Amino acid sequence: MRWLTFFILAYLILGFQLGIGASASYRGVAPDLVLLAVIFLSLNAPRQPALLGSVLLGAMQDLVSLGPLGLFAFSYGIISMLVVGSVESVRRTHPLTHLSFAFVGACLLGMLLIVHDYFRPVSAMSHIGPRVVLVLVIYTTLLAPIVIGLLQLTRRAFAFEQHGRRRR
Amino acid sequence: MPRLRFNHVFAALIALSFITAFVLPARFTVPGAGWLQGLFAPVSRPVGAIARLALGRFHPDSVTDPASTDKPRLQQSVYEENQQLRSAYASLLTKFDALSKLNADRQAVGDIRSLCKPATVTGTEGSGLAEGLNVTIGGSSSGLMDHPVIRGNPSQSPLPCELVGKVVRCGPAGAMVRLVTDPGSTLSARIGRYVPQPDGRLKLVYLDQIHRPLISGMGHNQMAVASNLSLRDVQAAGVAVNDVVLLDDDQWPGNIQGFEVGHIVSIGHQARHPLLADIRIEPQTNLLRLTEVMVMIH
Repeated sequence: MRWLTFFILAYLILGFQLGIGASASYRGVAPDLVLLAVIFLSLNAPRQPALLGSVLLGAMQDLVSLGPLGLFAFSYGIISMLVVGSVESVRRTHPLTHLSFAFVGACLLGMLLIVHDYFRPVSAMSHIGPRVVLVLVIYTTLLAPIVIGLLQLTRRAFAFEQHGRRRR
Repeated sequence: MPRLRFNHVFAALIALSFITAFVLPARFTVPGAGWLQGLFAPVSRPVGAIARLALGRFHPDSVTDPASTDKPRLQQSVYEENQQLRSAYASLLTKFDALSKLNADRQAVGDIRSLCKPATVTGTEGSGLAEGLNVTIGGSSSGLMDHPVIRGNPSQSPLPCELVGKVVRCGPAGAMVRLVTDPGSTLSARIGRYVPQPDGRLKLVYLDQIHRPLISGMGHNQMAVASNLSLRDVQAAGVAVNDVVLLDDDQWPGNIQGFEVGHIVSIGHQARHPLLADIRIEPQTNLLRLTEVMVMIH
């Protein structure tokens, strides 16, 4: 994988995430575009760059969010492990694959956020509840075919295939 | 010596992330952040502007008039009130200046316009779940930790401004503001109401039967009274929808005490504790959609 292309993707996707946050939020929850980038990487890149890239994306998101450092790095690392582990048995360019991985990834992310909020709550009055996670999951999943579909068009720029991953 | 393999490195990264997120207290990890916000401005600003423009077409921001919430006031009435406010403001400024000379402490009571610096909002915070703004201030933002952030431009408008939040992370490339509506934000305040007087003026009356309630952010551009107040006490104090909430907190600088935090939008009972009141407060505008804020730099 070309790491320069990866960092350009990280820059653009985080810029989009920061820019559209308030305007695109529904019931106070914005879609997680970085998660979709993590799924795109994990679907296409070889195992090691995919895992490392996902943790890096999470760490960068941690640096621009109000949460504690490491929360998204940990979450995206786990999600990437899950996707990389099952990528050989799916058609990685099919929109249903993107939809299902985004759904599973967002559910996992939501669960980790709930667990984190349970052990280290930000406030005694307001918690990340199932409703917030539900909105996050549905919103992110619905955007997955569009965002990952668009990212798939840029796949050649990453030179994933040079590393011998079999295309389906 | 065993070879260091990728799996070892990845496991170490995951373990480190887990420790910083779940084990270490936030105060140890937060100072490490706050360096990157401004770097994303070339992308986040145009994207945010386009998104706001698109959203504004379908869902424009509305502003409520706390003095007349039921129906729009006559234009003449608003002009008269503006004139009264200008007179009152000029009078107060004179008194403040006199007090400042007496106390030799201008910053405690004086005008705040010289203490603020405009900051451009480059985006919201990155997770999409908390309520914060990334801002860039002319020059370095370093050293602005815990500085208050307000809405409106005091150099253009003499009217009081609204409290927005506090700088929680700062670095050379920008700063992050935790909004008062974020669940991690708490402050104490006073509740007041604008009451029309027989001469047509509006007078701010404080409802001090409820003494300095604690206000906590709830997300979704809302705050709530966090003090455990019974619904009966709230009703007895006469607190009602559209009453204004004003900052009254020793943790914040003296010259922004009395700044508006928001207005009450609903009073009900708490779902888990039906005898306790659930008082919801909203700022005058959606704070996440601000494009410029003022950071107090002194």
